[in-house]
Amino acid sequence: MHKIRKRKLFIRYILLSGLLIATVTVLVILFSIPEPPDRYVRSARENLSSARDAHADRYAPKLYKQAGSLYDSAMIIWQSENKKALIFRDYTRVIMLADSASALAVRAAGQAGHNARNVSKQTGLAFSDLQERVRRISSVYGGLPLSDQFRDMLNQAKLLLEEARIARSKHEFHKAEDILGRADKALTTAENIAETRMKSYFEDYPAWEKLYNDALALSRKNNSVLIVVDKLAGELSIYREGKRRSTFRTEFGPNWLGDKNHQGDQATPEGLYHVEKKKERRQTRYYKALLLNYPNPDDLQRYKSNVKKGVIPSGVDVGGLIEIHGHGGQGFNWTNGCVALTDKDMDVVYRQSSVHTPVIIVGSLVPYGEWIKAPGSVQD
Amino acid sequence: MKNKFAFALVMFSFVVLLSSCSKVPQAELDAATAAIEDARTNGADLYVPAEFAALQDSLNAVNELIEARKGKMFANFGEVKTKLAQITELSAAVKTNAETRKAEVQAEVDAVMAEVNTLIAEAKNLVANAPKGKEGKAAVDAISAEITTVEAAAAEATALVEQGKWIEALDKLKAAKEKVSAVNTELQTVIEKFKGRR
Repeated sequence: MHKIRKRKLFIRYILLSGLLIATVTVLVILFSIPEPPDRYVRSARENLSSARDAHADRYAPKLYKQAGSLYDSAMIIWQSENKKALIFRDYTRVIMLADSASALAVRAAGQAGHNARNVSKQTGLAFSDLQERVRRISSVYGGLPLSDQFRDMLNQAKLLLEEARIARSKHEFHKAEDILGRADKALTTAENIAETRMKSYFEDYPAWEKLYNDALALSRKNNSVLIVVDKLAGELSIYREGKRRSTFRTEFGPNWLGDKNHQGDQATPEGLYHVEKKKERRQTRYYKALLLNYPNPDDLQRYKSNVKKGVIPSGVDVGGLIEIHGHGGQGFNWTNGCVALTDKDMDVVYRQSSVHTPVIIVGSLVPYGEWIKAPGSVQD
Repeated sequence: MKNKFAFALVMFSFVVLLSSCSKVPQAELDAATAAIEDARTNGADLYVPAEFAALQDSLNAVNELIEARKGKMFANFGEVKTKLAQITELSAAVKTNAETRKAEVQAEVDAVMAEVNTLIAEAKNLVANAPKGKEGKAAVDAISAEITTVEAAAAEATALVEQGKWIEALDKLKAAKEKVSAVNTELQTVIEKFKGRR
């Protein structure tokens, strides 16, 4: 009996001990389970979300991408740790990665805000600058009979500027930056085409200058009338005794930029001429006219040389009937190579000139460097 | 016998305590992920980017919740299931919104394209009726070059539409519309100016 009691006591003792061990084990496990890193990961995600709202994907892409990768890594390691038994889990790396992701996301958001402000400012400045360039190029070169490629590039730049304006209005500054880059390229091409053409045109400037100075000296010496036509200024001036007395607006042939080479080229000749005949109203279709002696010997020599070189086909004539006449004031260069004035101005020029009055027609009275700076010096 | 049963109970409790045995709602998670992908395929990231980003955030938050639950001794995924169901439902709404917005953009593209084409035709008509002869020809030629540029832009927009880039096409068309409207005004001014001087 005593033995049975003793055995029961022993079993009780064993059971109680087991229960105690189990309770202690449970308590130990409960206190040794690592706390899930959810608040760190959540913080990383929220910071990434804020960075995305600040358009970090566009304006701080490297940092934003790094932050995203760190967040993804944190999640992968978290999932991998969760596959282990509770007491063997270790979230240290998850927390470290999530913290790094958080920090990078915050930096990305800050950098994105800063970069977005910068790009906005830069595109704003670039937009204004390009608009001003378009205005200047259109104003200086727009009225010149330049190549189709020049017009094409200028028009493309104008259209791209409109696209950039739309992108900026939608706060798509990176897109605007890209479009403005293309507009800049088109505008630079247009400008280069125009500059090259004009610099080549101004190679004749020393000859124009000499022509003008010689004619002026002669007018001064002989107290005579001189008519000077400045093509780029779009002006005809009357000089008496070497002094400019009056100036009028002119219109030329559409291809006035350059010398006249042959019939039908719609170019206005350049050189020293004189009035060969004065035509009254009944003798001309254009109110009144002063017929010039085109082609002069220089024109004929150049024409023959060009025919010889094959630049001008042999059947094409050198042309003639170049006049200073009325019916001007159309606002365009429309003649077949003549110099047109308004009828009112033609009256003055007609009255002050006579047969043999010298007429010089030059590209410009100022050198290229000066012409390019002078606003409103272009025909339109 | 009694003792053996008590021992087994203790051991079982011990095992239960050591591992959480509640299951992740994988089917619901897969459904939510597929719904988000479906919304993306239908252009949600392009046409309703803010809504789409919010969806992705929600899914990320649920994934975090799942892992957090796995870290508990007694994991309960009831809340996860509810949230995943909400995401699946929201994804469908976002998809519908994206489709609606896309349809709106497409309709706008069609409308602006039609306007641009009408304006180009109008510009060409103005050019055809512009002063004949040499007078004014230079100005009209210059303006014609601008019309050609606008036509090229409209063609580019058509190519973008063919590539499914409706938003880019719309921006290009809006710029082309502004330009061709300005060209028409300029042409009318040239014609009026010339008429007045005739």
